[in-house]
Amino acid sequence: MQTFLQHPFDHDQDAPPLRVRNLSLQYDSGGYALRDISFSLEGHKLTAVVGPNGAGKTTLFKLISGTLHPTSGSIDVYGEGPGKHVCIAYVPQRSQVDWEFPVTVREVVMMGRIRKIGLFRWPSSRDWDHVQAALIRVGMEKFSDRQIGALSGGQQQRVFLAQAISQEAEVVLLDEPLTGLDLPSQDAIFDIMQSMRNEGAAVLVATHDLNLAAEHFDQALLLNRQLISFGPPEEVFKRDNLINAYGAQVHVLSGEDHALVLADTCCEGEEPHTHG
Amino acid sequence: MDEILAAIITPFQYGFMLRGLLAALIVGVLCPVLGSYVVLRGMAFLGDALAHIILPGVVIAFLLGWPLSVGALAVGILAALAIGAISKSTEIKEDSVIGIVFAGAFALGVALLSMQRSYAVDLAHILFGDLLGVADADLWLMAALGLIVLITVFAFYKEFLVLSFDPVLATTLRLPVDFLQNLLLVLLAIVIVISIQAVGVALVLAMLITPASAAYLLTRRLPVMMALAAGLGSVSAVLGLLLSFYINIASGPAIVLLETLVFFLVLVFAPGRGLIAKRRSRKSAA
Amino acid sequence: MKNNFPSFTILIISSLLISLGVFACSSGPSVPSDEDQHHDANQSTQAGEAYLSHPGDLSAVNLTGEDRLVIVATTTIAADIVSNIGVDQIDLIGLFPLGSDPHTYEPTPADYQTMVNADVILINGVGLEEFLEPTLEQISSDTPIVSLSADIDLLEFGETSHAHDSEEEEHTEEEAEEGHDHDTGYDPHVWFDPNNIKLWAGTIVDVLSTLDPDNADVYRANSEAYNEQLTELDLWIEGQVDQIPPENRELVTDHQAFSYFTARYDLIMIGAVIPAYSTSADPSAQELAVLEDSIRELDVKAVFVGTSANPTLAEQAARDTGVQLLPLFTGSLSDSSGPAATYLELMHYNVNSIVDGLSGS
Repeated sequence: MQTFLQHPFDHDQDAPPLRVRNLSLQYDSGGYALRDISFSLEGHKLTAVVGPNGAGKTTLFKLISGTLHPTSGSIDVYGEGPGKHVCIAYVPQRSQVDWEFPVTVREVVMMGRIRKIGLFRWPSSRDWDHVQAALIRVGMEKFSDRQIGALSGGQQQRVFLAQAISQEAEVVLLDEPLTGLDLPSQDAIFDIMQSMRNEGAAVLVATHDLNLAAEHFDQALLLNRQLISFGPPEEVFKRDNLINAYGAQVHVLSGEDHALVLADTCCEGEEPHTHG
Repeated sequence: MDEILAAIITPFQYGFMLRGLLAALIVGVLCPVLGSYVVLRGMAFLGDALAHIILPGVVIAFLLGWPLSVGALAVGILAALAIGAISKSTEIKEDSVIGIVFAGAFALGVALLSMQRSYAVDLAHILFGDLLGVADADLWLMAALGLIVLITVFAFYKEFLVLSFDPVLATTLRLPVDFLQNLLLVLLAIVIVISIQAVGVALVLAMLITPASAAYLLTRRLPVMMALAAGLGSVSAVLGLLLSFYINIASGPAIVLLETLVFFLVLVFAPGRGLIAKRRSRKSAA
Repeated sequence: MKNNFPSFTILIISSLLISLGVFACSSGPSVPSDEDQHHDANQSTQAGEAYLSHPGDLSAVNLTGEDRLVIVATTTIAADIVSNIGVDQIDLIGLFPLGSDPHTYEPTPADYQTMVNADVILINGVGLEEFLEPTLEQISSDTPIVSLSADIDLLEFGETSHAHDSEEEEHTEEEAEEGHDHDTGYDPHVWFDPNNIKLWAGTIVDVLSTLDPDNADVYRANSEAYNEQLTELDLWIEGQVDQIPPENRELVTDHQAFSYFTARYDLIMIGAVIPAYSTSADPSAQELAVLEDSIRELDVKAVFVGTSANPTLAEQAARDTGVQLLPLFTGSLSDSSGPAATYLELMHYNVNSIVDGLSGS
C-alpha cells in the first residue's frame, strides 16, 4: 500500500539494472525452488534465461518482479529492491492469460500506465499518445479496438510487449514469449525485443529453445535451481554446462566446428532439435 | 396499447408497489455492476457464501433493534476479511474454508432467530426477501449505500479492472492488491445487504450473476457489459414485480425467474457466442 | 467434436416449461370465493388427527399423598383457563412462552420431556399449533392429548357468522381435523368468543374429573364461578360494541384471527393483511392491493396488528392508506406486568382498543 501512495523511486543510475545476490526460495517442506543464485546485469542487454522444466525460470522472474518474496538473499534493481519500483514489467506465459476477459487491445496496453495515471484519475491525452506509440512500435495499431481473444498468438504477444513499452519499463521479463509461434512471428517479436534493448531496457527472456538462446541473445543464464553458468552464449552452452543443467536428457556430439546437441529440453510434444 | 399501459401503471398506484419497485430497481442496477466482477473472477461461490454469512449479523441487529444494514455490514465486512486471512494461513483449499464459515455462520443466524417469537415469518423474509414491506427509511438507506458503492467503483475503476484481469499484473504494477481485493469484498457485502430486503439471502446470488452472465455473452467490452447487465437487471425488476402482481406469486422469486429466462434466451440466441450461432459456425466450418 | 446443441437446448427448454407449469398450477394464499363458503366437509383426511383422545377415553390417575395431576396446556390462553378451573389441585405447565406465536412455535427437547411426563396435554386444536403437530403425533402414545375445542361450532374460512341451519352444517372437531388446511379449512381462533371459552371449561372439567374423580366437585365449582365471569364479560363486550357507530364497525387485522369475535358481536371483518389463519404465510402483491382498496373504499378507521406477529406489512398498509396502526393481543397473553396477563384482561384490552380505534373520527 505504501508504494501506491508514494512517488516512484528514482533510480541510482550508477547501480546495475539488476543485481541478484545469494537469492534462495525455499519451500515449506524444505526443498529449494532456487538456491543461492548470484549474478549482475551490466548495461542493457538481451539475456536468455535457459533451463529444463522446473528449473525455476518463472520463479526467478516472479522474484525479480516482486510477486514472490525470497527466503534469503537479495535482488536490487538500480540499487533498490523490486518492491519500490514501477519500472519492472513481467509478461507471463500466454497460457496464463484470461483471453475471454472483455477488454480491448488498447485497454490492455493502457494498463501498463496505471501508476503513471495515478489514483482517482482517468487517462490523459498524453497517456493515450503513449499507448498509440507503443502499439505502432509493435505493429498492432490497426487492432487497437479488438478484444484480446480475437488475436493470433503472435499478435497477443505483441500486445503485451506494447504494454511493457507503455509502462516505460526498464527491466522487462518475458516468460516463454516465442513458444508456439511460427518463424515470421518469432522474428517480429525479436525485432521488438531488440528495439527495446536498444532503447535502454534490460530484457530477460525465459526460453527452452537452446537454438534461439545461442544465436539471438547478447548473454545467457543457464540454471537448474542453481546457477550453472552466466555470460556470453558461447561460454554458457559448453558441453559440461549443458550436461550439468539437463542431466541425462541431453546428448552432445562433438563435431568439427561446433557441438551437436540433441536434447529433450522442453514441454510435452516438443521434438528434439539440433544445433548447428 | 392504452390497455397495456394501464396494466403496467395501475399496480404502481399502491404505495407498497411503488416502494417495492424503487427497491427492486436499486438492487437491479447495483447487483449486476458488482456482479460483473463476481462473474469475471469466478467468485460466485464466495458471493453466495457472503450472503449466507451475513445472516447472523442481520439477526443480531434485528434482535437489538438496530437497522439491519448495520449488523449485516459489520458481519459481512468481518467475514470478507476473515475468509481472506484464514485461506492464507492453512493448507485447506479456499473454497472449503469459505464453505465452513458459510455454513457455520448461517446456522448461528438461524439458531439466534429461532429464539425469536415470530421466527418463521422473519426467517422467510430474510431468506426470500420482503419486497412488499419496504418502508421509506429503508429506501433512503438503500439509495445512500448504493450511491457510495457506485462512486467507489467509479473511483477505483481502472484498479479493479487490472486486479480482475490479472492479479499478478496488478502486483507487478505495484497496486495494493490486498487492499483492493478487500475493498471489492466490502463493496460486495454492502450490495448483498441492500439486496437482502428485495430478494433475500437465498436469491441474492442470482441477482449478482445472472444478468452479468447474460451481458457477458452479448459484448466484449467491460463498461458495456456492466451497463447492459444493469439494464437487464432493472427491466427484470420491473417486469418481475408486475408479473408477481398479476399472477399472484412472490415478488423476489418472480424477478429472479425473469432474469434466468432472459439468460437462457441470451445463451441460445446471442449473436456470435450463443448456442445457435456456434452451431452455425461449426457447420459452415465443416 | 460431438454436436450436442439440440439435446442441450431441449433440456433447457423443457426444464423451463416444467417450472412454469409448476408455478401456474400451484396456488399461493388464495383469494376467498363463494365456493369456499359452502365447503365440503369431507376433505382429504389426515391420519394424524387420530392422536386425539376424548375425555371419556381417559382413565383415572393414581394419586397418592401430596401428588397432584400434571397438566400441560399449549397456549398461554389455554393455560390461563385451565388454571382458573384446576387452581391448586393441579400442577399446571404452560408450554408456549409468553409472547410467542402459537402458529409457529416449535418445541424444544425440554418441552418434549415435559409432555411425556404429563398426565394429559390440553391443546387448542383445530390446527392452531401447526408446528407442534408432528411432535404431538409422536407423544400421543405416551400421553393422552385432548383438544379443548372439541365441542365448538367451528367457522370455515370466509364465514363471518353462523348464519346457517345449525343442524345440517354443524362442524364438529372431527370434521375440522379431517379438513386440515390452513387457507381453506377451519378457523382455530375460537377463544375470541367467551361462549366458546365456556365450552372449553366444560371440556376441562370433564378431563380433570375423569383423571382425578376425588376432586370432581371442586373442579365443577371452580368452573361455575369462572363461567359467571365469562357471562359478565360477554355482556360487557356487547355494551361496548354498541357504542361504536354502526358505519365504523369494520375490522382490518394482520391475520384472520377475529372471525369468532366479529361473528358474535356484530362487527364486520373486512380483511386481513395476511389472508390466512396462519402467521407463517405472506400476502401476495395482489392481496395487499385488494386490502388497501377495501380500507380506502370503506373508510376503515384503523388496522389492528397482533403483538406476536411481524408488523412490517401491516405497517406499510396502514401507512399507505393513512389509517392508525393499533396493537391487539392475538395468540398470547402478556407478562404479568402487562395489560393482558389473563384471558379476561386480554379481552378487556382488545375490546377497549377496538372501540377506541373505531370510534375515533
